[in-house]
Amino acid sequence: MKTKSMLHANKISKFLRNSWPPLLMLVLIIALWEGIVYFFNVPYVVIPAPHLIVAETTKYFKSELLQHWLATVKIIAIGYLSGVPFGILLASLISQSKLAIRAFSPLITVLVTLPTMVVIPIYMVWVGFDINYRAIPVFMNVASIVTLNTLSGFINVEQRLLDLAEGYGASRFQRFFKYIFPNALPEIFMGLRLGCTFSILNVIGIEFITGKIGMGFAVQYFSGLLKMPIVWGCILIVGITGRCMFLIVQLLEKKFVTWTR
Amino acid sequence: MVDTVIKLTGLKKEFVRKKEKQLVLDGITFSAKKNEIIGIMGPSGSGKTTLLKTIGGILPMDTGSLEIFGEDCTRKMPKSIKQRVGFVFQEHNLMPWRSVEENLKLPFEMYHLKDQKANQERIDEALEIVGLSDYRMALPQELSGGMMQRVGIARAMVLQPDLLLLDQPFGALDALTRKKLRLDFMRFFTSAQKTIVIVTNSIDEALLFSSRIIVLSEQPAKIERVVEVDIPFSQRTTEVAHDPQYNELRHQMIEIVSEQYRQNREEDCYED
Repeated sequence: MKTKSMLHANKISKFLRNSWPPLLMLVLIIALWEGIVYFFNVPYVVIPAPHLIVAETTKYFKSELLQHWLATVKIIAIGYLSGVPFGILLASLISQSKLAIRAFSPLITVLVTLPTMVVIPIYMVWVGFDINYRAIPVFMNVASIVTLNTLSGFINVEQRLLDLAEGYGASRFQRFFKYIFPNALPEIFMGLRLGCTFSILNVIGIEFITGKIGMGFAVQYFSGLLKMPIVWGCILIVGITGRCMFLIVQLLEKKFVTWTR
Repeated sequence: MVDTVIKLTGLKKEFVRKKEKQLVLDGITFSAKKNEIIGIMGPSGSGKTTLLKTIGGILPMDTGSLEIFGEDCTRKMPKSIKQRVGFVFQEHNLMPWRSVEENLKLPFEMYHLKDQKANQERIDEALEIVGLSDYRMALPQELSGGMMQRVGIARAMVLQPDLLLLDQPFGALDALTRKKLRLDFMRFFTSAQKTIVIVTNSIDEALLFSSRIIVLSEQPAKIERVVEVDIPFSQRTTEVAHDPQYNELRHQMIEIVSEQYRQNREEDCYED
């Protein structure tokens, strides 16, 4: 028991050792921010002081912001969690044929580079205004970026690995699952990380355009009422949400990808 | 009982580089008897690796015929034959996502050999031979170059192949490690009762390991010389450098190699 608690303490001290520079930076920025707002008497509509942001946001969080945040998170979760496996599956299928790679690659690139905002009106005509349909453009975007990266990982497999497989007379199945797929893991995770950014960007964008719920809507709504501290708080919440998503992906990546290319 | 392990006749191999056909191997014919150790030397870029990969069934051949263990492998090498051939790659070629032990499990997985206990015994044995028993859980990238290469050799040996193909196994290592590994494996290779083909760019390595050295010419490569090394394996120790027969062969080899080098230089001059 004693050793276990000591180990725990060790972990905490290690965490502190590693993370004191960003924490210190954060404290400094907040202090500076507070100081500037206080000394120059900046009106809270222009730049609210940090303590005001925290106070106002917590005050409105349960009654107003929570439902918006949950709606946003739900759409991200549906879009991301369906887009990732679909993208990997699609890339796996396409990679089996050279012809398919050539046929699909330009299309996927177009889907990745096309800003979702411009297609949203079309989506709305097709599927209507129900907020759950917001997951469709998120899904499309996450799936295409994951497909793009995964496919590039499958295509750029080193010849030496294929030689190794050929030396054992590997079947198509073995070659894909034992050589090509694990070898592409760094690229797949690159797709997963980009997918985080893409999905948040999309959801917020859609919420700006249509509907009466979600963090994107909340930002517009509260800025309309000139409740700027809450608007700043919303931005903060969106930022933290994204950071948490990224962190989860990073943790998974650390577990599965123990090498660098 | 078939005594000829490798029978290669008239192998030709072409590569297409930048839309230009390039003849790499131009009619290579040789055979290897059981338990013979053959060294292959030649100028860099002469197609030594291509030759070895063809014998290992990794690359297809354009023309010519290949028999391994008396079975025709010209068009495609059957999996049952590949299972009896071990290949050591130039630069270890380990999977970075697998630990040392998992890397050694790969050959068993490839041939669906599922007797866990027997497999584990063979893995332990192979690790013992290469002296890496304490590193079974390590990832390849955590090891030094010499250790990685030893894992690569262990992987080629876990299935106890009858034919071992080594592609410049110590080529990517620094001189000291190279020397040490060479002596470590000399004893093992020569006493292992296997047919071995070793591609090398070091005269000493070729003389130390082989019973016969095949020297390839510049591209397109033909067999330029075949040198018999009739020094008994029992005499090939650290002391071999003082052996007069060894030194004579060594001089002969150096002459062949520097002759090749001179020819190249002259050709270069003419081109200018």
